Amino acid sequence: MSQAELISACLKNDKTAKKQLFETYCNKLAFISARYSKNPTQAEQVLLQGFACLFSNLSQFKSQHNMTLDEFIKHEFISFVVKYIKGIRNEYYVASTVKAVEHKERTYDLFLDSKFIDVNNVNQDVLLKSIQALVPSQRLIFNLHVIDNYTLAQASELLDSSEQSMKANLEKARFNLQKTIERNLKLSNDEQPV
Amino acid sequence: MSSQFSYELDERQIKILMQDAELDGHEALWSKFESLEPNANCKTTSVQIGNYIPKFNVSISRSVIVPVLFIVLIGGLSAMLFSFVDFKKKETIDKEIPLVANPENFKKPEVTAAKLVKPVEVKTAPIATVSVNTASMTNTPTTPTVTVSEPKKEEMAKTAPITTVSAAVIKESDNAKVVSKNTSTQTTPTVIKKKKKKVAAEELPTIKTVTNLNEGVSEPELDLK
Repeated sequence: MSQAELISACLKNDKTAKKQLFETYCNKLAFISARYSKNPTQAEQVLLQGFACLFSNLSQFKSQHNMTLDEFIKHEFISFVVKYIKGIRNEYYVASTVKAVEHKERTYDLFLDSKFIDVNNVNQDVLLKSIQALVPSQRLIFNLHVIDNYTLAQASELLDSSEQSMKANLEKARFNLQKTIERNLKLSNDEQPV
Repeated sequence: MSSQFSYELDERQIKILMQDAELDGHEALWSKFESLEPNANCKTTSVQIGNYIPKFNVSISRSVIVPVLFIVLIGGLSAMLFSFVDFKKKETIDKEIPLVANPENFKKPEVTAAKLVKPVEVKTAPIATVSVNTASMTNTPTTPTVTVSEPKKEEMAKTAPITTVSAAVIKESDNAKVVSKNTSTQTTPTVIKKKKKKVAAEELPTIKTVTNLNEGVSEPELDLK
């Protein structure tokens, strides 16, 4: 079935076409929802509701001539996820007082292990967990700007806030992410048998 | 970015790792999706009323808003304070007649010092006879000539100017009050006094006041028992 036929069938509420479309993009959109969510449970909920919204907005794809189906589906899904996460007010509007200032603790233990932690030598799971550990506002801007190539202007429009706040949240997100990755790497190194 | 924090993460590598990644084993979610699909609500839980309000995306930084707010506050307060101050030019006051005393009313009588007129001592020789040409004297003020007899020409020469002076004094006796005598007599100094000019005092306007406040008021008669 070609792409156009698939879309027209989905618009006609054909279950087979919908299932085919679901299975085609499920794994990719699942990872996107996992990046934007705080845990796997929320990611699953976001994925299912996102697909429902996607099928209802599929008719708008015909008017979008400058985008492929993949780009259209990804763009629509990300828009839905951002609005969904921002809609959880009790989680999103948590004040973050983190400042990007590193406080080095003075240690006088000469025998303390000071292994060099290569932050860039990190696997996907650790990175995903570290991103999920971020505060929702920081998590959203990091995913939009760093991973999904959204500009600060586009992100501010999507999140309905100013660019200044976007910059501040991005800086905090970078600081927190690095610290979380270091902590997770240290924990994983400690867990490894000698 | 803070200078104290060194950002070591390679965002390019993160992007490569996370952008096109996939999670396996989610095909089984189709059954869940089928059960959820009728209840799925694409609309977010955001307030719908906000959709009707036009959104203005004005990017103004906090560093601009706070000073502007302060300036507006201070300006408003100062304008309120200035509204109580009246800067209008006052109308010119009508020319007032200055109450300056007339100096002429306060002139003091001029008291001049007494002129001491020194008596002119005229020493004349007894022998010398004076013949005055009266006709010439009345008309023209010429010095009278004096003919001197024979004796003592030297003395006469000395007294010649004196005699001329005595004649002049006699002529002036009508006008002057001082009388000089040919003979040495005692003369007393006289003081010239000028009459004081009487200055009429200013009559100040008076207000007729009632001396008795009870005028016209009939007092009740007291019955004394």
